[in-house]
Amino acid sequence: MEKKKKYKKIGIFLCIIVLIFFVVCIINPCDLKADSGFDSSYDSSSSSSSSRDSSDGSLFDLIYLLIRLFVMLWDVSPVLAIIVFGLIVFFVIKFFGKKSPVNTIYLDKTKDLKDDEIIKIIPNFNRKEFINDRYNDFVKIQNNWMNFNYDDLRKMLTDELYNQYEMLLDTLKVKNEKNVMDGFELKDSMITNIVKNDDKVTVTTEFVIEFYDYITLNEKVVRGNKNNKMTVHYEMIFVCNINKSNDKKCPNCGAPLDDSASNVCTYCGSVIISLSDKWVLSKKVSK
Amino acid sequence: MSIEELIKEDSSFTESGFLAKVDNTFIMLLTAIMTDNMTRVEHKISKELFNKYSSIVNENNLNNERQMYDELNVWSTQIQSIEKTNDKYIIHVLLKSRYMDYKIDKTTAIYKSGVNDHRIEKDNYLTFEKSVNAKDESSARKCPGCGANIDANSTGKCSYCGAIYDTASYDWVLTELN
Repeated sequence: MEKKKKYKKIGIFLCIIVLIFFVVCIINPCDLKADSGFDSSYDSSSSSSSSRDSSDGSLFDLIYLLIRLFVMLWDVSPVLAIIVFGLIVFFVIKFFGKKSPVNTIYLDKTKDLKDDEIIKIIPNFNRKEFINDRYNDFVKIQNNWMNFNYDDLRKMLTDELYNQYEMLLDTLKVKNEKNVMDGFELKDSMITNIVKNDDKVTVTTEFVIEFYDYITLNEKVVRGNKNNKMTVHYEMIFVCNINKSNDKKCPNCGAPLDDSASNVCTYCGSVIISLSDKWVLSKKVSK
Repeated sequence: MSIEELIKEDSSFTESGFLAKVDNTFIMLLTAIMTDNMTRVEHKISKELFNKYSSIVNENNLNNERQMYDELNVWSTQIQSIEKTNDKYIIHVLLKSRYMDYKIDKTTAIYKSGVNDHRIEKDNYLTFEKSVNAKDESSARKCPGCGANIDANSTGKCSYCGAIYDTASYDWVLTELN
Protein backbone atom coordinates (compact mmCIF):
# COMPACT_ATOMS: atom_id res chain seq x y z
CA MET A 1 0.00 0.00 0.00
CA GLU A 2 2.86 2.30 0.91
CA LYS A 3 4.63 1.48 -2.44
CA LYS A 4 1.47 2.33 -4.40
CA LYS A 5 1.25 5.68 -2.65
CA LYS A 6 4.94 6.30 -3.34
CA TYR A 7 4.60 5.55 -7.07
CA LYS A 8 1.49 7.68 -7.25
CA LYS A 9 3.35 10.56 -5.66
CA ILE A 10 6.27 10.19 -8.08
CA GLY A 11 3.84 10.07 -11.02
CA ILE A 12 2.06 13.21 -9.86
CA PHE A 13 5.37 14.93 -9.24
CA LEU A 14 6.65 14.17 -12.74
CA CYS A 15 3.41 15.40 -14.29
CA ILE A 16 3.71 18.65 -12.39
CA ILE A 17 7.31 19.10 -13.50
CA VAL A 18 6.29 18.49 -17.11
CA LEU A 19 3.51 21.02 -16.77
CA ILE A 20 5.82 23.57 -15.21
CA PHE A 21 8.23 23.33 -18.06
CA PHE A 22 5.43 23.40 -20.56
CA VAL A 23 4.24 26.64 -19.01
CA VAL A 24 7.81 27.94 -18.77
CA CYS A 25 8.34 27.28 -22.42
CA ILE A 26 5.04 28.64 -23.63
CA ILE A 27 3.62 31.14 -21.17
CA ASN A 28 5.13 32.35 -17.83
CA PRO A 29 7.41 30.96 -15.19
CA CYS A 30 5.91 29.84 -11.90
CA ASP A 31 7.22 28.32 -8.65
CA LEU A 32 5.93 25.81 -6.18
CA LYS A 33 6.67 26.89 -2.65
CA ALA A 34 6.66 24.94 0.58
CA ASP A 35 4.09 26.39 2.91
CA SER A 36 4.23 26.10 6.66
CA GLY A 37 1.10 25.34 8.53
CA PHE A 38 -0.90 27.68 10.68
CA ASP A 39 -0.40 27.47 14.41
CA SER A 40 -3.63 26.88 16.07
CA SER A 41 -3.92 28.68 19.32
CA TYR A 42 -5.83 29.58 22.28
CA ASP A 43 -4.58 28.07 24.18
CA SER A 44 -3.25 26.01 23.16
CA SER A 45 -2.51 24.30 20.11
CA SER A 46 0.35 24.40 17.88
CA SER A 47 1.77 24.31 14.60
CA SER A 48 2.43 21.56 12.35
CA SER A 49 3.26 21.18 8.81
CA SER A 50 1.47 20.89 5.61
CA SER A 51 4.27 20.85 3.20
CA ARG A 52 4.54 20.24 -0.42
CA ASP A 53 7.44 19.12 -2.50
CA SER A 54 9.18 21.87 -4.36
CA SER A 55 10.84 21.68 -7.71
CA ASP A 56 14.43 20.56 -7.92
CA GLY A 57 16.88 21.88 -10.45
CA SER A 58 18.68 18.55 -10.80
CA LEU A 59 15.62 17.08 -12.59
CA PHE A 60 15.83 19.51 -15.51
CA ASP A 61 17.44 16.95 -17.78
CA LEU A 62 14.66 14.45 -17.13
CA ILE A 63 12.06 17.16 -17.63
CA TYR A 64 13.65 18.21 -20.91
CA LEU A 65 13.43 14.60 -22.10
CA LEU A 66 9.78 14.45 -21.07
CA ILE A 67 9.06 17.68 -22.95
CA ARG A 68 10.69 16.23 -26.03
CA LEU A 69 8.55 13.12 -25.64
CA PHE A 70 5.49 15.30 -25.40
CA VAL A 71 6.41 17.18 -28.57
CA MET A 72 7.02 13.85 -30.35
CA LEU A 73 3.59 12.67 -29.17
CA TRP A 74 2.06 15.81 -30.65
CA ASP A 75 3.72 15.09 -33.95
CA VAL A 76 2.31 11.53 -33.90
CA SER A 77 -1.19 12.48 -32.77
CA PRO A 78 -2.42 15.85 -31.41
CA VAL A 79 -5.46 14.07 -29.92
CA LEU A 80 -3.23 11.75 -27.93
CA ALA A 81 -1.10 14.70 -26.79
CA ILE A 82 -4.26 16.54 -25.67
CA ILE A 83 -5.42 13.48 -23.69
CA VAL A 84 -2.02 13.24 -21.98
CA PHE A 85 -2.05 16.99 -21.32
CA GLY A 86 -5.57 16.70 -19.92
CA LEU A 87 -4.44 13.98 -17.54
CA ILE A 88 -1.59 16.20 -16.37
CA VAL A 89 -4.03 19.04 -15.69
CA PHE A 90 -6.31 16.60 -13.86
CA PHE A 91 -3.48 15.42 -11.62
CA VAL A 92 -2.33 18.99 -10.98
CA ILE A 93 -5.83 20.06 -9.91
CA LYS A 94 -6.05 17.01 -7.67
CA PHE A 95 -2.64 17.84 -6.22
CA PHE A 96 -3.54 21.45 -5.46
CA GLY A 97 -6.99 20.54 -4.22
CA LYS A 98 -8.02 19.62 -0.68
CA LYS A 99 -5.92 16.85 0.68
CA SER A 100 -4.84 15.34 3.92
CA PRO A 101 -1.18 15.55 4.76
CA VAL A 102 0.65 12.27 5.11
CA ASN A 103 0.87 11.62 8.83
CA THR A 104 4.53 11.91 9.69
CA ILE A 105 4.03 12.20 13.45
CA TYR A 106 4.75 8.93 15.24
CA LEU A 107 4.07 8.53 18.94
CA ASP A 108 6.71 6.88 21.05
CA LYS A 109 4.66 3.86 22.14
CA THR A 110 7.25 2.84 24.71
CA LYS A 111 5.77 5.65 26.82
CA ASP A 112 2.25 4.19 26.58
CA LEU A 113 1.12 3.10 30.05
CA LYS A 114 -0.03 -0.48 30.43
CA ASP A 115 -3.67 -1.03 31.33
CA ASP A 116 -2.90 -2.81 34.58
CA GLU A 117 -1.07 0.28 35.90
CA ILE A 118 -4.14 2.40 35.16
CA ILE A 119 -6.56 -0.15 36.61
CA LYS A 120 -4.80 0.16 39.98
CA ILE A 121 -6.20 3.70 40.16
CA ILE A 122 -9.32 3.41 37.98
CA PRO A 123 -10.64 -0.12 38.52
CA ASN A 124 -13.24 -0.11 35.72
CA PHE A 125 -10.93 1.45 33.16
CA ASN A 126 -11.54 0.65 29.48
CA ARG A 127 -8.82 2.09 27.25
CA LYS A 128 -10.76 2.21 23.99
CA GLU A 129 -13.74 3.86 25.64
CA PHE A 130 -11.57 6.34 27.55
CA ILE A 131 -9.58 7.40 24.48
CA ASN A 132 -12.73 7.68 22.39
CA ASP A 133 -14.50 9.75 25.03
CA ARG A 134 -11.55 12.09 25.56
CA TYR A 135 -11.14 12.57 21.81
CA ASN A 136 -14.83 13.41 21.55
CA ASP A 137 -14.38 15.86 24.43
CA PHE A 138 -11.56 17.51 22.50
CA VAL A 139 -13.76 17.86 19.39
CA LYS A 140 -16.63 19.34 21.44
CA ILE A 141 -14.25 21.79 23.12
CA GLN A 142 -12.94 22.94 19.73
CA ASN A 143 -16.49 23.34 18.43
CA ASN A 144 -17.51 25.31 21.52
CA TRP A 145 -14.40 27.44 21.08
CA MET A 146 -15.19 28.06 17.42
CA ASN A 147 -18.78 29.06 18.19
CA PHE A 148 -18.01 31.14 21.31
CA ASN A 149 -20.14 28.81 23.48
CA TYR A 150 -18.80 30.02 26.81
CA ASP A 151 -21.27 28.10 28.98
CA ASP A 152 -20.63 24.75 27.30
CA LEU A 153 -16.88 25.39 27.36
CA ARG A 154 -17.02 26.04 31.09
CA LYS A 155 -18.48 22.58 31.73
CA MET A 156 -15.63 20.83 29.93
CA LEU A 157 -12.62 22.68 31.34
CA THR A 158 -11.00 23.35 34.68
CA ASP A 159 -11.58 26.84 36.01
CA GLU A 160 -8.07 28.05 35.11
CA LEU A 161 -8.24 26.76 31.57
CA TYR A 162 -11.73 28.16 31.08
CA ASN A 163 -10.50 31.54 32.23
CA GLN A 164 -7.67 31.48 29.69
CA TYR A 165 -9.96 30.46 26.86
CA GLU A 166 -12.49 33.09 27.84
CA MET A 167 -9.86 35.85 27.67
CA LEU A 168 -8.53 34.63 24.33
CA LEU A 169 -12.01 34.32 22.87
CA ASP A 170 -12.75 37.86 24.02
CA THR A 171 -9.78 39.14 22.01
CA LEU A 172 -11.04 37.25 18.94
CA LYS A 173 -14.49 38.75 19.44
CA VAL A 174 -13.10 42.27 19.71
CA LYS A 175 -11.38 41.82 16.36
CA ASN A 176 -14.52 40.25 14.88
CA GLU A 177 -12.56 37.14 14.00
CA LYS A 178 -13.51 33.49 14.22
CA ASN A 179 -11.21 30.50 14.58
CA VAL A 180 -12.67 27.80 12.33
CA MET A 181 -11.76 24.19 13.02
CA ASP A 182 -13.34 21.14 11.42
CA GLY A 183 -12.72 17.85 9.63
CA PHE A 184 -11.27 16.26 12.76
CA GLU A 185 -9.62 12.85 12.42
CA LEU A 186 -7.90 10.96 15.19
CA LYS A 187 -4.69 9.42 13.89
CA ASP A 188 -3.03 8.04 17.00
CA SER A 189 -3.20 8.18 20.78
CA MET A 190 -1.65 6.97 24.00
CA ILE A 191 -1.80 7.42 27.77
CA THR A 192 1.50 8.43 29.30
CA ASN A 193 0.80 9.10 32.97
CA ILE A 194 -1.76 8.73 35.72
CA VAL A 195 -1.56 10.31 39.17
CA LYS A 196 -3.93 10.10 42.10
CA ASN A 197 -3.89 12.83 44.72
CA ASP A 198 -6.59 12.37 47.38
CA ASP A 199 -9.78 12.16 45.28
CA LYS A 200 -8.29 13.80 42.22
CA VAL A 201 -7.05 11.69 39.33
CA THR A 202 -4.93 13.28 36.64
CA VAL A 203 -4.41 11.45 33.36
CA THR A 204 -1.91 12.62 30.76
CA THR A 205 -2.64 11.64 27.18
CA GLU A 206 -1.08 12.26 23.80
CA PHE A 207 -3.12 12.53 20.61
CA VAL A 208 -2.23 13.00 16.97
CA ILE A 209 -5.14 14.72 15.30
CA GLU A 210 -5.73 16.08 11.81
CA PHE A 211 -8.06 19.00 11.12
CA TYR A 212 -8.63 22.20 9.21
CA ASP A 213 -7.70 25.26 11.23
CA TYR A 214 -7.86 28.85 10.08
CA ILE A 215 -9.05 32.26 11.15
CA THR A 216 -11.72 34.21 9.33
CA LEU A 217 -12.73 37.83 9.40
CA ASN A 218 -16.19 38.45 7.95
CA GLU A 219 -16.09 34.94 6.42
CA LYS A 220 -12.80 35.66 4.65
CA VAL A 221 -9.73 33.63 5.58
CA VAL A 222 -7.10 35.93 7.10
CA ARG A 223 -4.76 33.41 8.69
CA GLY A 224 -4.17 29.76 7.90
CA ASN A 225 -5.32 27.63 5.01
CA LYS A 226 -8.83 26.26 4.59
CA ASN A 227 -7.76 23.78 1.93
CA ASN A 228 -5.06 21.86 3.75
CA LYS A 229 -5.41 19.94 6.96
CA MET A 230 -2.80 20.21 9.65
CA THR A 231 -1.57 17.36 11.82
CA VAL A 232 -1.01 18.25 15.44
CA HIS A 233 0.55 16.23 18.23
CA TYR A 234 -1.12 17.23 21.49
CA GLU A 235 -0.44 16.46 25.09
CA MET A 236 -3.76 16.76 26.95
CA ILE A 237 -4.22 16.46 30.67
CA PHE A 238 -7.63 15.48 32.02
CA VAL A 239 -8.69 15.54 35.67
CA CYS A 240 -11.60 14.02 37.51
CA ASN A 241 -12.91 13.31 40.99
CA ILE A 242 -13.08 9.54 41.25
CA ASN A 243 -15.08 9.51 44.48
CA LYS A 244 -18.42 10.53 43.04
CA SER A 245 -20.69 12.26 45.48
CA ASN A 246 -24.41 12.31 44.89
CA ASP A 247 -25.19 15.54 46.72
CA LYS A 248 -22.86 18.36 45.82
CA LYS A 249 -23.98 21.52 47.54
CA CYS A 250 -22.99 25.14 47.24
CA PRO A 251 -20.77 25.99 50.25
CA ASN A 252 -22.28 29.47 50.23
CA CYS A 253 -26.01 28.85 50.25
CA GLY A 254 -26.40 25.05 50.33
CA ALA A 255 -28.21 24.76 46.99
CA PRO A 256 -27.51 21.66 44.88
CA LEU A 257 -24.80 21.99 42.23
CA ASP A 258 -24.17 20.21 38.94
CA ASP A 259 -20.85 18.48 38.52
CA SER A 260 -18.77 20.72 36.26
CA ALA A 261 -15.40 21.86 37.50
CA SER A 262 -16.18 25.52 37.77
CA ASN A 263 -19.73 25.87 38.87
CA VAL A 264 -21.86 28.90 39.11
CA CYS A 265 -24.52 28.36 41.73
CA THR A 266 -27.84 29.07 40.09
CA TYR A 267 -29.26 30.32 43.41
CA CYS A 268 -26.67 32.66 44.88
CA GLY A 269 -24.42 33.18 41.82
CA SER A 270 -21.25 32.13 43.65
CA VAL A 271 -18.47 30.69 41.54
CA ILE A 272 -17.41 27.42 43.12
CA ILE A 273 -14.10 25.84 42.27
CA SER A 274 -14.56 22.14 42.76
CA LEU A 275 -13.41 18.91 41.32
CA SER A 276 -15.70 17.61 38.63
CA ASP A 277 -17.12 14.10 38.67
CA LYS A 278 -16.66 14.08 34.91
CA TRP A 279 -13.35 14.25 33.11
CA VAL A 280 -12.47 17.87 32.29
CA LEU A 281 -9.55 19.24 30.34
CA SER A 282 -6.90 20.86 32.51
CA LYS A 283 -4.14 21.55 30.01
CA LYS A 284 -3.53 21.19 26.28
CA VAL A 285 -0.18 21.82 24.63
CA SER A 286 1.26 20.87 21.29
CA LYS A 287 4.48 18.89 21.19
CA MET B 1 14.00 20.91 46.80
CA SER B 2 12.21 18.34 44.64
CA ILE B 3 8.54 18.24 43.64
CA GLU B 4 8.02 15.15 45.81
CA GLU B 5 9.42 16.97 48.85
CA LEU B 6 7.17 19.92 48.15
CA ILE B 7 4.12 17.63 47.90
CA LYS B 8 4.99 16.12 51.29
CA GLU B 9 4.95 19.60 52.83
CA ASP B 10 2.05 20.99 50.80
CA SER B 11 -0.42 18.20 50.08
CA SER B 12 -2.55 20.47 47.87
CA PHE B 13 0.31 20.86 45.38
CA THR B 14 0.26 18.96 42.09
CA GLU B 15 2.62 19.70 39.24
CA SER B 16 -0.11 19.77 36.59
CA GLY B 17 -2.32 21.98 38.78
CA PHE B 18 0.54 24.39 39.45
CA LEU B 19 1.53 24.61 35.77
CA ALA B 20 -2.11 25.32 34.87
CA LYS B 21 -2.03 28.26 37.34
CA VAL B 22 1.23 29.48 35.76
CA ASP B 23 -0.30 29.46 32.26
CA ASN B 24 -3.42 31.17 33.53
CA THR B 25 -1.50 33.92 35.34
CA PHE B 26 0.73 34.57 32.34
CA ILE B 27 -2.21 34.89 29.95
CA MET B 28 -4.14 37.01 32.45
CA LEU B 29 -1.20 39.40 32.77
CA LEU B 30 -0.71 39.89 29.04
CA THR B 31 -4.45 40.21 28.47
CA ALA B 32 -4.67 42.78 31.27
CA ILE B 33 -1.94 44.85 29.56
CA MET B 34 -3.75 44.56 26.21
CA THR B 35 -7.13 45.56 27.61
CA ASP B 36 -5.76 48.28 29.88
CA ASN B 37 -7.21 46.55 32.91
CA MET B 38 -4.40 45.73 35.32
CA THR B 39 -6.88 45.41 38.19
CA ARG B 40 -7.99 42.12 36.69
CA VAL B 41 -4.64 40.51 37.45
CA GLU B 42 -3.62 42.52 40.55
CA HIS B 43 -4.38 39.66 42.94
CA LYS B 44 -2.23 37.19 41.00
CA ILE B 45 1.01 39.20 40.94
CA SER B 46 3.24 40.94 43.47
CA LYS B 47 2.90 44.65 44.15
CA GLU B 48 6.23 45.36 42.43
CA LEU B 49 5.19 43.57 39.25
CA PHE B 50 1.79 45.25 39.34
CA ASN B 51 3.44 48.69 39.59
CA LYS B 52 5.94 47.84 36.84
CA TYR B 53 3.31 46.77 34.31
CA SER B 54 0.89 49.52 35.32
CA SER B 55 3.66 52.00 34.43
CA ILE B 56 4.09 50.35 31.04
CA VAL B 57 0.34 50.60 30.40
CA ASN B 58 0.33 54.25 31.50
CA GLU B 59 3.21 55.05 29.17
CA ASN B 60 1.34 53.41 26.29
CA ASN B 61 -1.71 55.50 27.15
CA LEU B 62 0.36 58.69 27.11
CA ASN B 63 1.51 57.80 23.60
CA ASN B 64 -2.06 56.84 22.65
CA GLU B 65 -0.87 53.31 21.96
CA ARG B 66 -2.27 49.89 22.75
CA GLN B 67 0.04 46.93 23.22
CA MET B 68 -1.23 43.85 21.37
CA TYR B 69 -0.33 40.23 22.12
CA ASP B 70 -2.23 38.60 19.32
CA GLU B 71 -2.95 34.86 19.01
CA LEU B 72 -1.40 34.39 22.42
CA ASN B 73 -0.43 30.82 23.13
CA VAL B 74 1.55 29.02 25.80
CA TRP B 75 3.70 26.46 24.02
CA SER B 76 5.22 24.77 27.07
CA THR B 77 5.75 25.29 30.78
CA GLN B 78 8.41 23.63 32.89
CA ILE B 79 9.45 23.88 36.51
CA GLN B 80 13.13 24.74 36.60
CA SER B 81 13.79 24.72 40.35
CA ILE B 82 12.07 24.82 43.73
CA GLU B 83 13.44 26.52 46.83
CA LYS B 84 12.27 26.96 50.36
CA THR B 85 13.11 29.84 52.67
CA ASN B 86 11.94 30.42 56.25
CA ASP B 87 8.59 31.78 55.25
CA LYS B 88 7.96 30.85 51.62
CA TYR B 89 8.27 28.38 48.79
CA ILE B 90 9.75 29.71 45.55
CA ILE B 91 9.33 28.04 42.16
CA HIS B 92 11.19 29.11 39.03
CA VAL B 93 9.45 28.31 35.76
CA LEU B 94 10.39 28.46 32.10
CA LEU B 95 7.38 29.27 29.95
CA LYS B 96 7.65 29.25 26.17
CA SER B 97 5.09 31.47 24.53
CA ARG B 98 4.08 32.45 21.04
CA TYR B 99 2.29 35.62 20.04
CA MET B 100 2.31 38.55 17.67
CA ASP B 101 3.81 41.46 19.58
CA TYR B 102 2.92 44.87 18.16
CA LYS B 103 1.41 48.23 18.99
CA ILE B 104 -1.56 49.97 17.47
CA ASP B 105 -2.92 53.47 17.66
CA LYS B 106 -5.51 53.46 20.39
CA THR B 107 -7.89 55.73 18.52
CA THR B 108 -7.65 54.45 14.97
CA ALA B 109 -6.46 50.87 15.66
CA ILE B 110 -3.86 51.36 12.92
CA TYR B 111 -0.66 49.37 13.23
CA LYS B 112 2.26 51.39 14.58
CA SER B 113 5.18 49.09 15.33
CA GLY B 114 6.18 45.49 16.02
CA VAL B 115 5.43 42.15 14.36
CA ASN B 116 1.81 41.59 13.34
CA ASP B 117 2.00 38.96 10.62
CA HIS B 118 3.48 35.97 12.38
CA ARG B 119 3.94 34.75 15.91
CA ILE B 120 7.31 34.93 17.62
CA GLU B 121 8.43 32.36 20.15
CA LYS B 122 9.74 33.69 23.43
CA ASP B 123 11.30 32.17 26.52
CA ASN B 124 9.85 33.69 29.67
CA TYR B 125 11.36 33.10 33.11
CA LEU B 126 8.77 33.35 35.86
CA THR B 127 9.08 33.14 39.63
CA PHE B 128 6.15 32.17 41.84
CA GLU B 129 6.03 32.35 45.61
CA LYS B 130 3.69 30.92 48.21
CA SER B 131 3.70 31.40 51.94
CA VAL B 132 4.74 28.37 53.98
CA ASN B 133 1.81 29.16 56.25
CA ALA B 134 -0.72 29.57 53.44
CA LYS B 135 -4.29 28.89 54.53
CA ASP B 136 -6.51 26.34 52.83
CA GLU B 137 -8.55 27.99 50.16
CA SER B 138 -12.25 27.28 50.21
CA SER B 139 -13.96 26.19 47.00
CA ALA B 140 -15.96 29.44 47.23
CA ARG B 141 -13.53 32.35 47.31
CA LYS B 142 -14.59 35.22 49.56
CA CYS B 143 -13.77 38.91 49.38
CA PRO B 144 -11.55 39.94 52.32
CA GLY B 145 -13.45 43.20 52.52
CA CYS B 146 -17.11 42.28 52.54
CA GLY B 147 -17.25 38.47 52.31
CA ALA B 148 -18.95 38.39 48.91
CA ASN B 149 -18.11 35.58 46.52
CA ILE B 150 -15.32 36.34 44.06
CA ASP B 151 -14.61 34.53 40.79
CA ALA B 152 -10.92 34.67 41.67
CA ASN B 153 -9.62 33.01 38.53
CA SER B 154 -11.30 35.62 36.40
CA THR B 155 -10.69 38.77 38.41
CA GLY B 156 -9.42 39.68 41.85
CA LYS B 157 -11.54 42.76 42.37
CA CYS B 158 -14.72 42.44 44.39
CA SER B 159 -17.64 43.72 42.33
CA TYR B 160 -19.38 44.87 45.55
CA CYS B 161 -16.78 46.69 47.64
CA GLY B 162 -13.79 46.92 45.25
CA ALA B 163 -11.34 45.16 47.58
CA ILE B 164 -8.70 42.94 45.98
CA TYR B 165 -8.71 39.22 46.77
CA ASP B 166 -5.67 38.31 48.86
CA THR B 167 -4.31 35.40 46.83
CA ALA B 168 -0.98 35.64 48.67
CA SER B 169 -2.63 34.28 51.82
CA TYR B 170 -3.70 31.11 50.04
CA ASP B 171 -1.90 30.46 46.83
CA TRP B 172 0.98 31.06 44.45
CA VAL B 173 1.69 34.63 43.33
CA LEU B 174 3.85 35.73 40.40
CA THR B 175 6.76 37.83 41.70
CA GLU B 176 9.14 38.00 38.74
CA LEU B 177 8.87 37.85 34.96
CA ASN B 178 11.90 38.13 32.68
